[in-house]
Amino acid sequence: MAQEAQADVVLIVAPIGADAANIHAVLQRARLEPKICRTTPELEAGMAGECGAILLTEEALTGELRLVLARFFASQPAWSDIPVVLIASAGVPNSGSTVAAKLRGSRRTITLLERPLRAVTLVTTLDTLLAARHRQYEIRDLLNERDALLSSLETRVAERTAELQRMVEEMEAFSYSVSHDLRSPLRSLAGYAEALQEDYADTLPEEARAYCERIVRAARRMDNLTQDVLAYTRVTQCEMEITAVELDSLVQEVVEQYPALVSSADSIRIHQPLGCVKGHVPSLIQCFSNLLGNAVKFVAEGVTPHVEVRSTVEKTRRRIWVKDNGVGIAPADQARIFRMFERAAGRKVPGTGIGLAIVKKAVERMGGAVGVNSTPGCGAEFWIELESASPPCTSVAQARNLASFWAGSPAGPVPLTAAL
Amino acid sequence: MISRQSVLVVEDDEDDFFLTERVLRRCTTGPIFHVENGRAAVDYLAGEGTYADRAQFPMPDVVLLDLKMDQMNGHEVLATLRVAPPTPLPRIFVLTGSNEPRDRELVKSSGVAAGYVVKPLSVAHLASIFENPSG
Repeated sequence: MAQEAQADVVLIVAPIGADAANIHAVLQRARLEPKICRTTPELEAGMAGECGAILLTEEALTGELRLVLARFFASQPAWSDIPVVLIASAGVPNSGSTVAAKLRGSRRTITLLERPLRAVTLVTTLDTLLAARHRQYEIRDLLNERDALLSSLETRVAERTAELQRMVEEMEAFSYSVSHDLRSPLRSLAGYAEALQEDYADTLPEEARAYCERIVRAARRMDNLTQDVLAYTRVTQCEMEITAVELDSLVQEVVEQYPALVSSADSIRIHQPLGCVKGHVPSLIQCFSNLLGNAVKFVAEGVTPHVEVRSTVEKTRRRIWVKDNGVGIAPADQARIFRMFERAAGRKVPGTGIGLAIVKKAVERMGGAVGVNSTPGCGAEFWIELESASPPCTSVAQARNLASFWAGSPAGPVPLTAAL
Repeated sequence: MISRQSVLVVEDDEDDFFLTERVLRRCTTGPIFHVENGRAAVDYLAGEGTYADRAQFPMPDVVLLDLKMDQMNGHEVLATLRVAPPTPLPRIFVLTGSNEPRDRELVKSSGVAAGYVVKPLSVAHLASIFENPSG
């Protein structure tokens, strides 16, 4: 950054006799930069052009000059305190010393020199004052640097914010287009394959019908994948409005409304009250539908699923447990399954390997944690832990509201793993 | 149970229309009308332009409205119908491939739609849609 001028000019206002010329000569000999101001406009011009110090004789201090000085001092920036040297006659309580006394309270740098004046006194005084004035210039430059830095920081923050905003919008536009465009051909694939099976059931050989079935299954798997990836980006990107959420009705809604759970609703036992947590309603619905969906899905063949949901409190945190009687998870797999596309189950059980990653991401964004306790063959107990909240909780009505609106569609609110 | 209600399908995708119509044929003996964009849907429901002849283009009992279309999308259709609702107002169901919360909320807040169905349309969806002709 360019440094501003470091003006050392000493303005001299000395209206009587040869004072001004003498002082000027002394200062010049000392290699200072004196400038005589004979009129008020000249002084004002000198001050406006920046100066290192002002030297006045007491005779100069007319009412008008005092006004000009006062106005000038008031207009100075905070860092600037132009040194003023006042030359007065010794011994007599005159106007000069009176003014000097008055100026003492004004927090300005006033130096009073008395006549008879020695050249060396004047020069060393001015040297000292100009050195002090240089310190002021240094402060000025530092302040300027700081301001420049701050404003460039602000610009950078604004640029970053705009860039992030644009990225989020792009991401949303991408999700939206994935939702609409990528899924559309999958729907057609499955739709036509089903139409073939149904409309040509009599003429299609058994093997052809089986191929159709495979087409439908593959398209459905692909659709589940795109939907889960979308759900994952949603919990990663969306703004999460955290409110106090009452879990009894929320979990009940999930069990009653989600098609994947409806057929197993009888096997899910909720130990009420589950209490309240601080969370984001849509994300919590997503988490519980994923956890409960897993709980009823991963059972050994011929075993009726049995799921229990309960809640415990420790200090300010609430932990909700989802316990199943499924196949369980080996210790080596327990951390892995929360990662994207990681699955403990074999290929035989349908799934995308994203469900638990969604749960983990969503819970972490709500300020919580997830985990699992399991012994292979003896079921698994998943838990999510969130900040506990106290009633009243308002968000349950929102969930209800949503559910009633979808009542017109027999599938209820379509879960993120909607069947094709 | 087979219904006798008439349906207007607003759908720009040929395959989606084929599959939707196929399911509709199983569930209703009523006539099925088809327009390919939102603009045409608004004209049809207002009985304007090409669709001025109500004998040829009668007011349907049910409208299945796609969201993503060129020349006026489904959201714009709902907004238009909200300002100038045709009489009698058919029951309008959004039938879309979108499962986006944003779309659901927009549709819901329009106050015009009776429901929101994510494609593909199923016999079970239609059983519910045709269940209550007065609602």
